[in-house]
Amino acid sequence: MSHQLSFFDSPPANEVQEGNVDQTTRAERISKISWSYSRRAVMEKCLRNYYYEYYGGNKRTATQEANKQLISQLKQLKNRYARTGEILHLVISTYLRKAKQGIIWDENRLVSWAKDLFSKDISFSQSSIGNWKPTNEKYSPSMLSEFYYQDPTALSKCLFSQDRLVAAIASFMNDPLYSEFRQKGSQGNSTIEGFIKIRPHTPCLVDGRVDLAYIEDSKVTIVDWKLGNEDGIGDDSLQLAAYGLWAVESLKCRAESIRICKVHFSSQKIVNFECNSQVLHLARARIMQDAERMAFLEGYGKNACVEAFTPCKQTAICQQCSFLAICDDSKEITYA
Amino acid sequence: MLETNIRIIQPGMNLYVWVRQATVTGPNLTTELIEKSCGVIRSRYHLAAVAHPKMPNTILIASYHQINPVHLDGEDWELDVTDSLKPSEKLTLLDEDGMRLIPKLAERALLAQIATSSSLWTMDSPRILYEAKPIFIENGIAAYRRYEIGSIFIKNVGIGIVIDTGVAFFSKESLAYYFDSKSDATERVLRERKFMQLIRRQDGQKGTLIYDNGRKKTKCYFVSPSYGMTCATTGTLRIKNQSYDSLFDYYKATNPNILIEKDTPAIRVSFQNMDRPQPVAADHVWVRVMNEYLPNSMRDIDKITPNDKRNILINFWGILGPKPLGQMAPGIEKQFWRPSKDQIFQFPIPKLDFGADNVLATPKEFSNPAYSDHFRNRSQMLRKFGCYQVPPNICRTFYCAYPKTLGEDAAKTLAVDLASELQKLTKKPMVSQLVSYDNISEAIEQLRDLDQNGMVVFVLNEEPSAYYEAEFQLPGWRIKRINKSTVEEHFLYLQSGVKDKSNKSSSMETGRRRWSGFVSMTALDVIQLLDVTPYRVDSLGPYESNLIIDVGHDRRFFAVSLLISRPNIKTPGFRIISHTQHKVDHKEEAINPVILMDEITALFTRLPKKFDPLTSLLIIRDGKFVKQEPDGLNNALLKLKATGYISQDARIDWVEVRKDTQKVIRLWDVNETSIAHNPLMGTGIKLDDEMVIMVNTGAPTLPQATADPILIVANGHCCNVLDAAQANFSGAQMNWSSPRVAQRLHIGMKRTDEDLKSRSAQEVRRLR
Ligand code: SF4
Repeated sequence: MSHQLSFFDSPPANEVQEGNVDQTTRAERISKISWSYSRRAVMEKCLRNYYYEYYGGNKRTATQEANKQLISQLKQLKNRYARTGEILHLVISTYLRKAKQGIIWDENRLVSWAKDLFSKDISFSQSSIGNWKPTNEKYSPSMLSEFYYQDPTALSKCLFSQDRLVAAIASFMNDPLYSEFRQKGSQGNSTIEGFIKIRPHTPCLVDGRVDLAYIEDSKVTIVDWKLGNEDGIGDDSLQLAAYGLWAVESLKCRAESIRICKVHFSSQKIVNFECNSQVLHLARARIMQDAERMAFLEGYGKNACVEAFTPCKQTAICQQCSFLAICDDSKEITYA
Repeated sequence: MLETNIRIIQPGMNLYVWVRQATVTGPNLTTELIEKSCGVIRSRYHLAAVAHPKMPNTILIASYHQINPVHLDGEDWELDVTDSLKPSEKLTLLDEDGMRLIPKLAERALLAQIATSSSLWTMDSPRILYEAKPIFIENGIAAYRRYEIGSIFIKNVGIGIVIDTGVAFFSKESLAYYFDSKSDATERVLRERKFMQLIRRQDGQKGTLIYDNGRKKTKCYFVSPSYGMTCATTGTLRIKNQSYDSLFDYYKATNPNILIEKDTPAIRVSFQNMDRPQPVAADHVWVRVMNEYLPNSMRDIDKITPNDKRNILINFWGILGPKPLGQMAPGIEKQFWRPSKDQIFQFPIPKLDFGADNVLATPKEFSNPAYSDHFRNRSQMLRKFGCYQVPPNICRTFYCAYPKTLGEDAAKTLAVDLASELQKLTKKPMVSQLVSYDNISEAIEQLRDLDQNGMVVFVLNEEPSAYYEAEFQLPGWRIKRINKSTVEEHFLYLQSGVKDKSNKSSSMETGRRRWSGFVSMTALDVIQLLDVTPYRVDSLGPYESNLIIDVGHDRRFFAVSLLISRPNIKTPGFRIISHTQHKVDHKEEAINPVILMDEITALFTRLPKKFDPLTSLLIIRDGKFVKQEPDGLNNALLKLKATGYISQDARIDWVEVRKDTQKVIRLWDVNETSIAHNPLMGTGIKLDDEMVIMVNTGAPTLPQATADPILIVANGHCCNVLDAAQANFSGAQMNWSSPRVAQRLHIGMKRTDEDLKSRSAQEVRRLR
């Protein structure tokens, strides 16, 4: 005997009605997503980290998150790799910007500035162990996660990173390999640390930042600085393909006229990315596929449903994670 | 007489094994590292070892005597194994631990013996062994015989060693040939194209390779060609905290016996568990050609009849000798294990309902001729009486989108023939409309202009993201995708016939048959997309419904499907629905329990409003329930009961169906003259109260290959595992895509499997 189910009298707001699945199209679902390579990288690395970064620690969303304050605080921690990378970008962009104005900063000045910034981070971190409170001051030193989590080898690890940073800056300034970038980057039409915000025929927004770009003889060159060694991804780099999409969209150039290079300071290598319309087509599809995943997680994130974000619990990743202190699932993973 | 490919270790249930307990110490020990330590102990010291089931960081080593301390290390780990100095323990088959651990120890003891006494080689899994020399080479592809080894405890019988055999394919040439910088430009293009075909790069595949470093063979993946890069010019490598000036220096320092020169070409590949691609010597890397990517002429090569398989395995056991487990056991039975009569079952094929109330009865006898007739009748009745259920509002116009390069002739013939086939199946008038295109975006635009949503047979061109684009940009459309090359191949058969084996004459009749077979298969897929039910069974064994849960092979998606099949006095009497969802935590095997709960409940909300609660449900996990999945499932069931989809007192059972079972068990019937044949479909063996193995395919519709059984495991959640087996067999009778041939999987499992494959085919993997 058939009967009408009471369930349907008042279907929960977030559940679909019979027959057809969710009526919103896939394109509509991703239209509010802002894709960036770094967001995708976090999502790929650890979903729980992704929650803390984009929902739990975000003031405007996941309002029911009970630990919002702590998560927001942890979000401001930086590990040595992230911080030295940030300083490298700051130093190179400042050099190029000044050079554009005709002011040339020499290697010593750049190196001592970078060293100074990172040394301040180290001493601040050392003195703030156990009593760190993040401030909103613009140029306040960073709290390094290695010290926050009391890694006994924090200092030596950070000093090693500092050496790498110094070597990278020296290499940027002296190595003939990079002379083209120093020269062309200082010219009037170059873009330095330019923000990307485009919809390259994708319903979602593509967000990011281009380290350096310039046009010469209708050929566009895009450069990405990396402190480390070659990652070997080469022609399979989605990050570089996204720069290609930006160039096609914003500079109205052909894919084939774009040269994208990744500069690896540690191995002193420039890796070129072969840009063509086929690879950009793939990149567009990949970005939309990522955005679909992000859109799928959006509801759980906004509702602060942390359990829907599986923790990766991988020692090597957790040891670099700022959220170790809040992540119950990885309590057993320590720096020891 | 039903026989298996299992050999029982002597002395059956009286087998016992002495083990030593050893402690594992080292930084950041994980379950994988403990397993790794067991693996290294086996390969270096030829001793079988397993992780202790109860004590963390402890392993059990099959030995009566004290073990010397062992230090083991790898690329990024190190550990020490020390004997606990406790007295040796005797594991027997009378206790739980013994039943669980002795099979693993026996399997590993056998692997250790094989490693010392044969030329077989392994790749990633020690359980899969390959013969040293290929059995033949064709089209630049070398076929190697492979053996897969497993073990099983059979109640009241003992421990069985299971060995299966198959064929694996590798490129004949190494990557040094495909990316030889010395070859001229034309040759270079040809070789590169051939390589890309072998790895299916055009489909966005990563390309699986095999790397032989002279000591072991490892699976790796193609990254990019590096013309001109040699072992001496790779640049600095940093491995295990050591710097090497080049790959050549690395090899010389760590692997001096490897035969490479400074100018040996190098290639970049990626390895599992390593974030960065690495250069390796290109002449030490080959392509692993997946069976599904073999050229047409080689497609049947991996099919082995039961009799051939049996003979190959008899030969293999002969080579292993009388004591293949070394000191662990006195020997092994000389014959394959034959289950007793009370363990064997045979399900009859249930009656099937077709259009206009026509019924195909259960075959009158368990015989090949009766079953052959039955399958022939399925196809005939479908054409004669039409489908069991056709939605009244089914769309009557379908579009056929094709790339202009295919040619109008082929597209038109396909569309017209398809319309006529669909008409036969649905008994409704069907018309087709052609849409030609230069690129996918253009096709999508045209289709959108023509209709808001509809049915399209989309002949896809080679654009790498074509499938995804089509699915994404055409929401609400039902899309049957066909590759352009498939249409071309079949259209050529129709136009020019099929060449005979000697390649001298062509048969137009065979060509026509191939074309119409292709059209009718496509039509059967199209009607399923249009929610047509071709034919159905009355019930699923004792269950009204089955819920299937499956995770895709790359773990990027999971799928759930629900099959309801019950008398029509209940609403609905019959329904199949499925849904695929992202599995964003793709590094995890388990489905997140919160998400699993949500997706199961969301699936039910797609059922009609008028609905009689389910009184029985069998939940089938394709694979294994992992981690907290049962929690998610339990929460979903609570919700579904609370909302009235499932009655409060419903019978709910859970089983796991291992379709790619690690135990590689095969069944065959051996006649008086010792010739093995496939058993009739629906034949199975109840291994114990929790486990059955059965074949849904087999005689008479599988003439060339050996039936591939499925293993059903109850794990304490199913009161009668035979009921679950019967439901699986009934579910497999809805072989809608190919009515003449038995189907291996339950229709719900087939649905989830296909949905997952379809989503996976849309994924762009290359860019990361
Ligand atoms: S500690 Fe580990 S599991 Fe937890 S959020 Fe960080 S990376 Fe993820």
